[in-house]
Amino acid sequence: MTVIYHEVKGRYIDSVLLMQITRELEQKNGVEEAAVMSATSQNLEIFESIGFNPPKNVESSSILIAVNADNETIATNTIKEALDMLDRKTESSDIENYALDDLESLTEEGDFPLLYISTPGKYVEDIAKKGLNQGVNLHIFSSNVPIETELELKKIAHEKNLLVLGPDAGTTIIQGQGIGFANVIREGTIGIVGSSGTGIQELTVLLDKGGLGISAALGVGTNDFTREVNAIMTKQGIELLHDSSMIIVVAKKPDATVMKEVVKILSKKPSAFVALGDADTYTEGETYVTGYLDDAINFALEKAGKEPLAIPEAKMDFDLQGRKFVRGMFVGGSLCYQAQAILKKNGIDIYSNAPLDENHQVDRNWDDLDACIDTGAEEYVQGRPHPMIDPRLRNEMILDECRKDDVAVVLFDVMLGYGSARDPLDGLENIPEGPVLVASITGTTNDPQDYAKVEKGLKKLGVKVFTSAQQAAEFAAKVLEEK
Amino acid sequence: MTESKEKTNGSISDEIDAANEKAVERVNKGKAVLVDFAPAKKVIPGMRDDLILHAGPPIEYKDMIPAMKVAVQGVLILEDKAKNLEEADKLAASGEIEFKPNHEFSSAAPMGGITSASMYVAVVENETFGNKAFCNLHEGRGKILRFGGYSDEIIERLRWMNDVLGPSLAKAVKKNPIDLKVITSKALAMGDEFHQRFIASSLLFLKEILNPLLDTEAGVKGVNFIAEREQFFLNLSMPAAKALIDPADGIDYSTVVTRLTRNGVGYGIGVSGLKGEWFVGPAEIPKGLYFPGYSEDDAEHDFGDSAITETIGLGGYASAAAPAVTRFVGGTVKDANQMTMDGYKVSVGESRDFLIPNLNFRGTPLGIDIIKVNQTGLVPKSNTGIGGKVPGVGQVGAGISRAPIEAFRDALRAYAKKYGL
Amino acid sequence: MIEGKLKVFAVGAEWFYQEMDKQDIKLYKIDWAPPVELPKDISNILKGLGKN
Repeated sequence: MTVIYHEVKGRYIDSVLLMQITRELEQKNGVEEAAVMSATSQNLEIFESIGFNPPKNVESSSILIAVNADNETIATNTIKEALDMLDRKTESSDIENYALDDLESLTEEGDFPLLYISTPGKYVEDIAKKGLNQGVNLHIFSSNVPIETELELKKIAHEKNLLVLGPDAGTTIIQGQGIGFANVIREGTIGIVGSSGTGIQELTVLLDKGGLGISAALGVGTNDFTREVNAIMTKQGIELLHDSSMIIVVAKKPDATVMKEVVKILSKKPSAFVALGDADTYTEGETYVTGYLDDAINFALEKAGKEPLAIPEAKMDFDLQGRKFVRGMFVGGSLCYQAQAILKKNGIDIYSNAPLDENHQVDRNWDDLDACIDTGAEEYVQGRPHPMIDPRLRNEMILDECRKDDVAVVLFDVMLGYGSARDPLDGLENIPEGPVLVASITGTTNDPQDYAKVEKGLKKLGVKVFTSAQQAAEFAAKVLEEK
Repeated sequence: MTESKEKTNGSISDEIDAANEKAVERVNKGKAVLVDFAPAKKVIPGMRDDLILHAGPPIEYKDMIPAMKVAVQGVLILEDKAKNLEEADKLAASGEIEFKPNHEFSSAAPMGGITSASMYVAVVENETFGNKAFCNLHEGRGKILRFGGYSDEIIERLRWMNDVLGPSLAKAVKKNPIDLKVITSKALAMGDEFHQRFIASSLLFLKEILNPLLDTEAGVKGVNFIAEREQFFLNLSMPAAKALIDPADGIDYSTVVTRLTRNGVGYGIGVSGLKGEWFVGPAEIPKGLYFPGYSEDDAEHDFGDSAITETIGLGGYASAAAPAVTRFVGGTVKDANQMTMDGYKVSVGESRDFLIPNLNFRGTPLGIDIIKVNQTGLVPKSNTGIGGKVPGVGQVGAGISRAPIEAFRDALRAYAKKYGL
Repeated sequence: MIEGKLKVFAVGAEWFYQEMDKQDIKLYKIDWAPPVELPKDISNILKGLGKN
């Protein structure tokens, strides 16, 4: 217990701001009690009533900061933070608010207007129609939009030559700007169209890591590749990006007929189609079809005369000691899906809450099973932020797995970029020793998080870090061969 | 020639609009002049020895929150009806004392709002319409009766207020009646919003009363008493608001809100076209910031008649003129403006005399319409003090309280029934 | 390629608005609140008044 008092002379600060500062200080870890008030005799009584013993020689016109913390370091730091807050200038907000009916008047000649919708799904239809009626493209992050509505919106948009990106679309990148969850990618000539958000993210960062760049990345929503929707927006997106040097399409579990049609459209030019969950690899015309993200990237790299993705060397320097299970804890749904496909290919009977097939469904209990969990799935995000925005729950689940004595390898993804948490390793301190830890970072060195710092942080925790999610999953499979 | 008296729903809309316009016009035309101070029994019509007035909608003694109960007990001691709190409690519960809302006796008072027969009250006259309104004297902050505080010190102060200050203020004000509406307009341009912040208006009032009060028994002590109390104007602002809103009450077809008030249990509203009826929903704990050492665990639910200020377009609706107050809940200038802009969405008209400099001197939203509140869900919001649960603790913080939508739904249902919709 | 000057109107979650605001995007925040859910009888009364 350390108590520190600090007097600030010659400042007048509104008591309301002081109350706000007090509140912020009290919420910090290791702070028992804090108070920031002007040192009037009335307030000194209040300091005493909370348990402080303020110095008697403080001037009544001064501001007194009192901190009671677990140790001296925390107390000193807290005082410093309080002083910073006293100097904090509030930003004046010049932002005006607009209504949904204003879009048309706000759109000028030569604009590419886009309405980003992230309201609950039941409100999307009205909002979307308002946007389309005013000639505005849509990116719909919201999920739980009925498929009939999606089809209707996409048909209307197609008539007007507008885009409907989504519903349930996580990522779009236009002219280098990130819409939704997106990484900062080198500008280039490769176009990405996908019905899977984290699949798009992984493709874009791998291109960047390989030395290539993108023209645009369009997230068409998880249902675009269903029979009903029949890839309307994928086709429109491919058309829109036709002058890219190459187009890569990614989809999770696409309907076979729909996929075939899209591949046919692509096949006239160098392109790739990643069908996550499918085992087949083949070429049709100029299109390389595969189930794995890295393979498509390496195809693109080769076409551009570049080296394939580097695979970091990872020492097999562990002793499993009878441990046998693999547990994947993912924030990226597509990466979870790809990992399952890779593990299955290697003979592992892999279960999931978002499985490859219905016979491998698992809910809350995966004891005695190999499992990959998508922590961004519906059941985990009820009333909580998405794990890409706040990964602490997923990170806690990683710790849980590490505490078990039968888990051989824990596999996970770290997502960087706009939209994602600035500290993705929050809550991963003090990982218990036990399983082999394997991860990949979906990010670039230009992302708002510090890639190098994140990588270093992971390695310090004993995690084997790979360039891609595919590499990480393949290594996890290799680890299990040692059991 | 027979006149067709068939009312279509189209024309009822016209009736409502006309009635509401009349209500707003009446508020705008009103004056609020402080003319006297006197014992309640002497000036409040219907006041009796065995009657105690309280804040909020009707409530029985046994159901009152602790802070209000202790205030009642203290007042019974002051009235020499009991020797101690226990006796007072028994008397209050006995049925020999009647309890009625301030609002039903042309009064409005803050927090517990307890008013008794011999208590000095301010008398505010609406000279345009001749009606009067009343409010007890402002005790101050901290340990006071209106927060349920009881001690020798408190009782002694209250006795002095009644025996010396009240009569002195009466003398001062009778010689120099004070126009409270003018003070309100001026202070609105100085950052007061008249629910939580009265710094400017209290000073302007002090300026008016200073010399006349010096020339009385209370003298310097009286002047200092007022000067020390940053919210002194609260107990003048409330009867001024009551005096201004009352002539707008009882207009057939009008859907304008004429009462907004809470007692810690219920939050009650009254509607002009439904005169005398109460519509009550649950009072909530305001959301806000707490003073050091306090938290939501210490907070009492919303109580006091002070929300009367919102009925005349002040308080939360004047937030755009007083952004400093909105900061209490971590709000910004934008949030302050939003509270006022939301007010326009649910109001019939605008104040002619209460102007907001930042909005190009636009009048504050005036005439809360229960129809619009039902349509938009935008219930009246107040910047209010948060009282402590434990009697006598006083104010533990400040925050935003909202009127319950249920009260507005019930009011609309009753309105539909009465006017045959 | 996507031609034209990108202009984004954001409605819904504050988080994404903040994240896009940090980039180089011409960005507008759209004021929107979910439509008020009314009890049936209230809805009927309002309809009767021609104010639904």
